[in-house]
Amino acid sequence: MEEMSRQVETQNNPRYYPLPQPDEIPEREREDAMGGYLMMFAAVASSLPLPIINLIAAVIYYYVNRKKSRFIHFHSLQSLLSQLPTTFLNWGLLYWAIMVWTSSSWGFDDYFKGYIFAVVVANLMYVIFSLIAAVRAKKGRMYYFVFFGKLSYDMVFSTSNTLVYKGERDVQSENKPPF
Amino acid sequence: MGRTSIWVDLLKLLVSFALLWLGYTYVTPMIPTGWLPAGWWDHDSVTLSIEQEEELGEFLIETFEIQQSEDVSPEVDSALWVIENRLLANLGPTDFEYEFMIIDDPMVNAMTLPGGKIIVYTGLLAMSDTPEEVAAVLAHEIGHAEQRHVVDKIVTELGITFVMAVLTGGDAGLVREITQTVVSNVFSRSQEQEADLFGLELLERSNIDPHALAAFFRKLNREHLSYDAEMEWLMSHPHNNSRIKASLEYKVQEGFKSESFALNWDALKSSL
Repeated sequence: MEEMSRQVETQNNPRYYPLPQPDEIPEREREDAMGGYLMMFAAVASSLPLPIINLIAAVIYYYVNRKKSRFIHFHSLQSLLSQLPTTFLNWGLLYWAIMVWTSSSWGFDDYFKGYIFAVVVANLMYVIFSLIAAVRAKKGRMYYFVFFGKLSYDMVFSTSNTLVYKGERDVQSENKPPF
Repeated sequence: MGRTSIWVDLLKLLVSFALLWLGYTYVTPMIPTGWLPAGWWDHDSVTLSIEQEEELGEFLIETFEIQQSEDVSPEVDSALWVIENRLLANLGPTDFEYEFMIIDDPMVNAMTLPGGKIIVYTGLLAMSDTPEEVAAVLAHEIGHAEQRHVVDKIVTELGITFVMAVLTGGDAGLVREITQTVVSNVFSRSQEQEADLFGLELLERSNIDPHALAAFFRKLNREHLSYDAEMEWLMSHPHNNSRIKASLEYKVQEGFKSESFALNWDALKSSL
């Protein structure tokens, strides 16, 4: 009941476009939305141990697909944003490991062990939540990560988002006001 | 709420990561042995027995033919004997039969090999103004040996399988890997602190002024700042003055009386 009232409240919020419901989203859109999460896994596997290709792949996927629909835009943006911190953390881990390996002044100390632990947990959480999000996207549902979900929603569904989506009327390029 | 909740979420993420990192760094080592699965943290993960550690120490000494330099004068040898005997007499129960060797080398250095074998360079003796300062360094090294930091480091960095391969007849490449790990002598911050504390307590029990350790650290900092690489063995975190501060602030028990070594240190140094 509470969830329903929250949805109604969101749908009626003039600052945001209404959310598409599962029965309104074509199968093709669902698959493209899911692809944002799944393609990243393949990219991660191919880029080990240099965590950079996954980011490039996510950026390309995002720019290729973002104009197809708000639903796809939301999921691909959430996938892209959510892998930024893990990518930076992995870079940090790689740099730290190289320094430990090559420089005698960088010890295999407790801070490094703690960092490894935290980065492994962060990566695991990222993978688990990405899989959940991919399944939800395939079902035509929204799924919000902590922080990145709200941020992506705000960027995509806000009325201040002027991006023109395929199938939506381009109000910017047709009749325009005189001033 | 609205957009504010986005940044609240970001704060939650950052705090969660910081808690994970610092929690694992600071809290896990404080959990008593047995509360965590074996091997969860390096303090409990030493999987070489005392016998195996001694065997590894002997193996390294034999392989690299490490032995006391013949050039070391009997005066220097007997002075070190006096210092090490005072410390070992007050060490209490120990698993190791300590063996000290002097290497004739101007490098300011000392290192602990697996199995309680401690190597002292003559450069260290030459730089020390008093025998108490040498005793402080040796007490620190004994602390590393007693708390099994050396073998702990080897196993952590190279893995138990690797070490066992060496013990059961590994090739020269494997042996070189272990030797590099031992010689690098860089311990974690917590291990250095543990060795410092152990050394301070051992000095006190041996009626040697514990502040000699701080005096030695300060001298290294003051006079040998350009020799960072040389003093790295002792100052794994050279910019961390908290170790010097902790040594200076170490409080001895009431009734403590320091007993100076009856050694003519200046004459001994001139014979180096």
